[in-house]
Amino acid sequence: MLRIVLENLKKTYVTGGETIRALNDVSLNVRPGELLAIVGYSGCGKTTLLRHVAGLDRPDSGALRFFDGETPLNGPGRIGYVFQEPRLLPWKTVYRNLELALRHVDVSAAPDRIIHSVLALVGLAAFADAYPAELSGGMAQRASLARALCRDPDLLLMDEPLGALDALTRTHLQMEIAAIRQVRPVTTLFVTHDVSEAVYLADRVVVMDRGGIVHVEDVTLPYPRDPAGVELAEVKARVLDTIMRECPLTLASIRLFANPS
Amino acid sequence: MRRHMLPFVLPVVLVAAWALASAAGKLNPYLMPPPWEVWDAGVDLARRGLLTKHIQASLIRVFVGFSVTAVCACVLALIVHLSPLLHDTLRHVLTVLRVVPPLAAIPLLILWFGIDEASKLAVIMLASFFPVYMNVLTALRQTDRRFVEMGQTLGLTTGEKIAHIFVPGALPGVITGLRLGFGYSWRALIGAELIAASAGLGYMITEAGEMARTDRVLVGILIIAVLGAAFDALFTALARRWTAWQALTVDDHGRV
Ligand SMILES: Nc1ncnc2c1ncn2[C@@H]1O[C@H](COP(=O)(O)OP(=O)(O)OP(=O)(O)O)[C@@H](O)[C@H]1O
Ligand SMILES: [Mg+2]
Repeated sequence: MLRIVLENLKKTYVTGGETIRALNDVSLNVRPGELLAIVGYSGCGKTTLLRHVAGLDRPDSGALRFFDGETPLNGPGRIGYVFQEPRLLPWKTVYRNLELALRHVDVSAAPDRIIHSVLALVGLAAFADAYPAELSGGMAQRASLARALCRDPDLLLMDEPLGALDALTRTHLQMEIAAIRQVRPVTTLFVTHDVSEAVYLADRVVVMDRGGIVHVEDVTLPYPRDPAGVELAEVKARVLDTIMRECPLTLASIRLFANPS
Repeated sequence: MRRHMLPFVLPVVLVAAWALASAAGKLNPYLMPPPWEVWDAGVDLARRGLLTKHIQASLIRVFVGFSVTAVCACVLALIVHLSPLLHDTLRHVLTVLRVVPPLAAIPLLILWFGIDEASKLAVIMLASFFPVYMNVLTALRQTDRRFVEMGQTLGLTTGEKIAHIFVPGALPGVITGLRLGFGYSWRALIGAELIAASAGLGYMITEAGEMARTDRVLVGILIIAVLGAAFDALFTALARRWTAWQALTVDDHGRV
């Protein structure tokens, strides 16, 4: 299973004469098969971090290393990337979008079966032949989630994959993701604004602030977890406490606390 | 009345006004013959088989010239888009070629290619290449970078990115380019057929003009207009089909 080592990653952007440290000396070990949740204020560099791991951006300095056990790899292998926006090709139906994602995947079952079962998983069984423009925002996001899952990836990068969903669908999909992980754990970076979601799903929760990692919280509770349980509430309180302490409150925090649950 | 009939109302009104003005003796029949005389001239030309001959000659020229141009322009645009180096290399040469009116090059083209088909095709190509090339290139440029990134995470090859992302993404722009380019080549045809042609609608018009047959000139102009509009409608219909995924398509009046 894929292990990732991030060493002193730095990335600055210059926009309108202003220098933004999007990644400010990020070092992190992502353990094989773990789900690492990343939380932090809007603009703290979560998406930038995922893009670097996916190889879409190059760091100014620092290194990214990929391993299978102790064997160094050239890259992360097969990626399932749920972008922050759905990024479905508008000229292809949902089915064809997933089919394209399976193009370089040696699938054991017939692609058709895989696509239909993944679509059923995210509740889009009836929408295989719909065009992205015919989907609601939440449906498009679920289609994008299905596209990443159907690839049976070595690395899952999920950027607020459940952000646009209603509370019920979101809870449902959180449980599905937890269930899938019990059967087939994949090394995963999972960005979310919802601390409850983070502690429910994650093996570890990373708190980012202004391009840096300010805290890593271990969530050692075994699966299946009780989302309303006391243990989880304690972990959640600790994470929130760290955020309050480590990250100075700004207006940006409104977004973080807009999803209390 | 049905909405789709509306675009036909004004043409009918204009022809009716033309007929009324002619009947009332307001128009000099030598300069602007009445519609029925134009019709008779057209029927006469058709009876003698001249009309089909000229239309056929023109259509073949436009189709050959335009198809070659369209293919070259699309392919070149794709290559230039994928290779910034080539873009910089070709930049000034293409700009110079683009701003020179093709008709200005006719004397040269005649000297180079003679007075046969080749020089006429060259005029059509010069006239229609750039509208297609520029539109396709712009459309490719505007292909959403986010989709290209997405394709990259799926591990798509360059060929697959072209087939599944660049081409379909640019298709609306390609169709606009083809529509414009076809219009240009159709117009350039008259210029091309000024070059010692012995057949073609442009030739027919020039010849009729020299004999002061304004009725035949009008026949030629009307046929060019109707055929041009018909092909434009065909392109629009194809565009609708090929880009059905665009829930909203905009026609050239900005209506959706
Ligand atoms: N391509 C870019 N050009 C310039 N600045 C950028 C670029 N990408 C990101 N940034 C800047 O880097 C910072 C981090 O952005 P990033 O998208 O990683 O934030 P985020 O944590 O994902 O925020 P959100 O929760 O709102 O999605 C922001 O200040 C942003 O303005
Ligand atoms: Mg983001």
